[in-house]
Amino acid sequence: MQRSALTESVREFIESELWLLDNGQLSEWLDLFDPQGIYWLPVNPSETTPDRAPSLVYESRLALEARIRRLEDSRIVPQLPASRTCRFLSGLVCRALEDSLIEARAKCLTVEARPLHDPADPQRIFAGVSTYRLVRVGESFKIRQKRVDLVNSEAGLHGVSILL
Amino acid sequence: MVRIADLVRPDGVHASVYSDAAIFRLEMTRLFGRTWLLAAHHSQIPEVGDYVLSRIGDQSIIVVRQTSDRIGAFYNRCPHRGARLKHADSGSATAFVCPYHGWSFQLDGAVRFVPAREEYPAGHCDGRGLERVANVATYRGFVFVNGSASPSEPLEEFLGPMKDVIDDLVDRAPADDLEIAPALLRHRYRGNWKLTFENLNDTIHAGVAHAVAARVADAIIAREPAAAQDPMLGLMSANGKPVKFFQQLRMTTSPHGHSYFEAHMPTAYPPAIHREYFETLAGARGNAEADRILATARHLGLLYPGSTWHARYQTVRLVQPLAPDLTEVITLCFRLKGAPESTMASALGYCNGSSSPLSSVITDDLEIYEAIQRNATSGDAWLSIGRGYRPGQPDDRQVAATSEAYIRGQYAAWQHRLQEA
Repeated sequence: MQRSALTESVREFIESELWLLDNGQLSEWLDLFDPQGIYWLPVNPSETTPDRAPSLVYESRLALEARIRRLEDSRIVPQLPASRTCRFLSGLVCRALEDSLIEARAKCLTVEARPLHDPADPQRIFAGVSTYRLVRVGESFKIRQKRVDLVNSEAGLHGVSILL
Repeated sequence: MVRIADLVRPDGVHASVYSDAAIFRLEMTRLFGRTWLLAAHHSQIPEVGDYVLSRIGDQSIIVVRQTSDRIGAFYNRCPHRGARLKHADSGSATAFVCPYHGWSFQLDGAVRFVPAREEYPAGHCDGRGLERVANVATYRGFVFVNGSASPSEPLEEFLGPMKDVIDDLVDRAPADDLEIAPALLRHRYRGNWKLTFENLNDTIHAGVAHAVAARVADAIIAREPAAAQDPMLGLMSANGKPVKFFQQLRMTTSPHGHSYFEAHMPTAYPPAIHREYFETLAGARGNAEADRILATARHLGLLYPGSTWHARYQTVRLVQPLAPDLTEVITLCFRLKGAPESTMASALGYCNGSSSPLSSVITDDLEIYEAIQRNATSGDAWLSIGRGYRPGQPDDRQVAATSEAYIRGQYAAWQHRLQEA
């Protein structure tokens, strides 16, 4: 596969991933992860391992499933009312790693609003770099790891009940 | 002027304690300004000149290693025009140089250099060193500060039974020392700082506010029993226990508003970790002591009004009031020196799950704190702290873990401090 063709198919995959999140199709989103899939939001952007320091999120597939099932329940208070989100992707760069893994990096922007929530609670923006490790499966991919480095990962964030 | 005595009853508290700006000012000067607060851990400032920023209430302070065996603390404020001396959270300095006019100060706070000093009247600058935090004391490597020149009690007397909670943490390190992890977690909420202290040892809210988290985790663990070892799933599941379970646990309260209760989350390590860890710990401290340490099962220790402690999961939180309706919680996770690295993985799982702004557990609490705050700001309500209260009788120091005696104890300390002129 030509490099640009790879980038195009990865772009299509990630854009469809972001559509699933914006549409609230969280189970379908979880299905994008392979069984060893990891979802990681480090505190420190230069961190190379989750084993030395706390992370905003470091979850295996099962813990991530628990996160998803909770968010799908319409009774949890931090999602009353539920967030609406709009996600953007830009500057995608792909490269092949060993073991047929593909690394994809892109700038990501998520805008979140909770309609009719406290008027003092403004629309929020989460910006950062997402780094995917993808496994090729047939014509598509599975996510081995999704890492998101927010530009404000070290700040004291208010509670976040969406996926980034 | 608010009358503090009118805001607290034996079984209730007026909602304005969360929202009133005058009460917040009193809390900053009379409570936070005059009590022992955890400010840092010695491993954050190992070398002479190393410093870390911390807080006394809403005031920024610099905690600095002045000599190999002396740690001092200063308000992060240039005595010239009041600018912040240090902006980075931590670093190393040979002197403190103000970024505004270039006044500089030695590590002991004395004035070192003043630009255009000859233009000041004789002696004007000499006494204008950094304002020192009146008292700094350490307990087992933890650095505490007290803004009062004459603390109402020495640090160890203030800690009281909470010394056991700190001992429990440091004793777990075979090398008898801790090292702070190289990143801190922070979360914020638009609510009063007391809401955190009142929530963390509230065992009844867990099964309600976190019911969904517990249910979804239990469903996954039922399908895949090995998932119970995942600290995040364990934490979510632990909240679902029935009230009866918590009623049988003991909570200990102590003077000054502190409290802790017996563990409700599993404290045993998975067998593979336990074997290796026990060996290193017993090698350092002997079998009997290692047995005692690993059998110690306490849940959160609340060191009122500044920090909360979880020894088994190597996690300490600083609760920092920024405004009546804005609080930041900073979470420190510690490596047990000399212990197998597997103990760190277990601690990090709990730390992330209990303290991240993206936690599947505390996001429930944060949303509820903010709702309480909005009501407190707009209403004139008395709120209940009456669970376990027996009219006319003082609370025992040992109570069922479902009692709100620990909140009544916090308000007793709060009233006492705020009424001291």
